[in-house]
Amino acid sequence: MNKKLTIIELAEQVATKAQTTNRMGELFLKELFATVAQELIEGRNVEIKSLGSFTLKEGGAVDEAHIDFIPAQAVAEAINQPFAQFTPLELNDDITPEQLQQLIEIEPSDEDVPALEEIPALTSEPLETPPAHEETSVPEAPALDEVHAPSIPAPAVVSAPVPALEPTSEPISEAEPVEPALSEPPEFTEPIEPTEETPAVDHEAEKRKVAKSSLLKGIVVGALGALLLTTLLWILFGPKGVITGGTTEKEPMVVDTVNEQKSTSSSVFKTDKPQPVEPKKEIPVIRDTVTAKRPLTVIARKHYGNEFFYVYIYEENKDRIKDVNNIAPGTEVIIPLASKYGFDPKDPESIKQAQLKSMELNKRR
Amino acid sequence: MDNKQLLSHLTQQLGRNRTDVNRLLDALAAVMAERCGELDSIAVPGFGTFTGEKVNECVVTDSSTGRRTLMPPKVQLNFTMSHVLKNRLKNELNPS
Repeated sequence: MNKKLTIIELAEQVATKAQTTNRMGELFLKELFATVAQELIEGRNVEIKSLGSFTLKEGGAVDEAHIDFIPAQAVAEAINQPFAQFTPLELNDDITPEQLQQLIEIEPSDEDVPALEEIPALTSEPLETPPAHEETSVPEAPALDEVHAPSIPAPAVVSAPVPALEPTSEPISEAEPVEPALSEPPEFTEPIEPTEETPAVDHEAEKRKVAKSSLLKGIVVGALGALLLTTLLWILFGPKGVITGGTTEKEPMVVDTVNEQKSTSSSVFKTDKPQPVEPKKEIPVIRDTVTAKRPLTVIARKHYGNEFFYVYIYEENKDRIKDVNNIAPGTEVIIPLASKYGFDPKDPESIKQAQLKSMELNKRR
Repeated sequence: MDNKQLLSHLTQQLGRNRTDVNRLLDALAAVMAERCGELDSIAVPGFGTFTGEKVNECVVTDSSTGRRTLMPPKVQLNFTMSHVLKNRLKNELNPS
């Protein structure tokens, strides 16, 4: 802010924006402003579409000529982008300058404010009305840059308090109904207390609404609770009930029912036990892919430590492999566990067996 | 001099095509808007200074109708010509 930009800095920034060299930017600026200056000296106005227009104006004396620069619409809008939300606001005519003056005299604090007409009016009103609303209009008076946001509510304040000037009692009566409206939320949370109060008709209607809503809430909560209870009961006792139902069919055998119940309960436990065992049975399947450089023998060497064990891989993947000597690259094979085929990769006997199997396989081919 | 004439003049002087000159002009406008929007000033030697100036909100009274309007704050782009240009203009307009 308030920084002075030299032509070189300007040229750099222009060049960056136009994606050209700094030299080009500097040349362009010099040429542009030299041309404009020359045109103006020769008495011609210059109009640049994207920038604005330079107009030579001559004053009363000949030597008092000056140049008017009117920025282009786009430039003006771009500069005023932060203030785009503001619009001119027509002030209410009901406040006369005398009334404003009276207000200023009544409230000495307003005298500190600069001598703009409407600023005392703005500052005086928040004092009359409840303080919750327009405290923000006070910071408008200092000419700071960051005060724009609070200045939005200020126009609303100007028009609103006009009736408050003549009847002084009205603002108080207007302010009263605001309070119950603000105190409604606590009433909503505590529906019993508001019935004891004696407010206006609106209050009763609101209380009825609150009572209705609380009743509905109660019903919904009750229904949900019942549903939850039944599901809990079903989960806890449901399966047993089914089993006992089965036993009741066999009621004639009174003596055996106890044993049967035991057996059924034990059967229930039996069915329960395998469930946690199941994850243990899940054996991770090892897969590998055959490539041109990695035939089955190489894969076997990798997984078992000996290339002859490829026969077991072949056995496992018979459905996928048609010819063991000609496997298409990219074929995915499952590597079986050694225990599945009963061999030990480190055992020389197993290696011999694998060799024999390999020979048999080759003979078959 | 209108925009078209200025463009053709700059194209000749810089040896660039119209598109390039147009792009440079747009870039200049964008930089000026950006810098002056931040209330900076741009000094062009021998020509003048462009300044962004903030105008605070104020009440404007229409003298004929008496209506008062609260004008929002704004930033004005002002131009002050340099002494060199002023002297050149003075000499041109009043050679004696």
